[in-house]
Amino acid sequence: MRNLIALLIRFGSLITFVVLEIICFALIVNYNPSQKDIWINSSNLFSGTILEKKNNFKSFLELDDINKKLQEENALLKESLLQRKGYSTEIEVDSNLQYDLIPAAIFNQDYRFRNNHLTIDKGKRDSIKKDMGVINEDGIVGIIKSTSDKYSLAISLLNTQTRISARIKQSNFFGNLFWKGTDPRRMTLESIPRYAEVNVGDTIVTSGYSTIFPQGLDIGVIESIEPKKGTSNFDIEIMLSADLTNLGTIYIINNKDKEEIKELQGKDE
Amino acid sequence: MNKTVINNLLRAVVFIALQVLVFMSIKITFGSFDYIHIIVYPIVILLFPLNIPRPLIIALSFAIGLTVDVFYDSIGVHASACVFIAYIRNYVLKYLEPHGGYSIDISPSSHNLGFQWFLPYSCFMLFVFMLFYFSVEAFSFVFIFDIIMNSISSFIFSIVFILIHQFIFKTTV
Repeated sequence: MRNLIALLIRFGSLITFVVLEIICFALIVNYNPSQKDIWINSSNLFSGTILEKKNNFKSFLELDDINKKLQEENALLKESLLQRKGYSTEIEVDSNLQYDLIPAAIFNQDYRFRNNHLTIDKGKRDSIKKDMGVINEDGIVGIIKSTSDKYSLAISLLNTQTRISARIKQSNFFGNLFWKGTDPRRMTLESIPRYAEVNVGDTIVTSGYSTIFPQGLDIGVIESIEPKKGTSNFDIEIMLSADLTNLGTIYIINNKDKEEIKELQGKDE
Repeated sequence: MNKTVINNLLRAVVFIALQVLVFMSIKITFGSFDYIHIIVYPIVILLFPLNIPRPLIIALSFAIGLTVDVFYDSIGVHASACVFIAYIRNYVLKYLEPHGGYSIDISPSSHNLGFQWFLPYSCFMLFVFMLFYFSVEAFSFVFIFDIIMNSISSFIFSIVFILIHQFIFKTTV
């Protein structure tokens, strides 16, 4: 205690000085718009570089995992090639090659918020455009929202604004898939009528009704079915097949016929 | 002691009032040269008596700066400059200490220590104040030219007022 007081007497002015200057700067950056802008910009610059360094390091550490995954995928593809089954069961790439897959990596991802986004390390330079679908080897992941030269931003499935047209593989009924904003592993399928034949464990795939995703891509499996109160529909909980909390390599789907389809639909209207 | 407190309080009030009511609204421009801002109230910090404890001086300077900030609508900018010169004041005083040392309870003014002593003291302190103030106001050394121009021209005009004050009023405590 006596030491503390001696310290205070010795460095009293220095401590007062430092404390008051810190208060001053806190006041300055909080209450003065021009200084605040400069502060925020320069600190973003700073944290941005650090974040990028961290990501580089992290991806280096994960190289092993990624390698293993790619190997497994490679093996699977080779297998299907040997059996002459082609891609038709998993990813619908028809003979005219309507769909291109562009491999990319996730640069930054969120799943803790209500509206989550993914940052992807490919952009306009790699011919990535708005409204392309994002998938990984397990299922669909998101939709491209905006692009810059080198990067693009995708809306994750885990976003309360996401609406995806989905189909029950076994019974062909269509519904809308959306996220309630809480559980990063589950989504909800709505507007499936009650007379539909639905079972727990059924697979949900994309319907192919939009130009974003080809039809038949895995989304997940049905976990629980409950009638929705006050409607004639079911409320169906889906367990997602892709783990959106841990994304590594992804693919961006480029639908080459998109322009043509859009044009045609536009003519009709 | 009582007289010291009243004198300094009065000086602080008068100079803050002068600053925010008169000097704040004076705008001297020569064409596009608008770097002149007259800031005189730091003289209150320069003239605090020598026997006031340093932490108290720093705290008082913070209060003075914050008061001026309220009128300038720049919370924290004046205060940070005031706190800074209050902190370095002791080192400057130590550096400029005359052979006989200081009498303990006087104010370091022109009347007490002579104009020859007061000139470098006030010039240095005020210039440091200006440099710090305009740096914090710009908040980025991208504006280094503005900072230097502002500091030099504002310093010249402000020091004139401070020296005139020292010629007219005999500050003892």
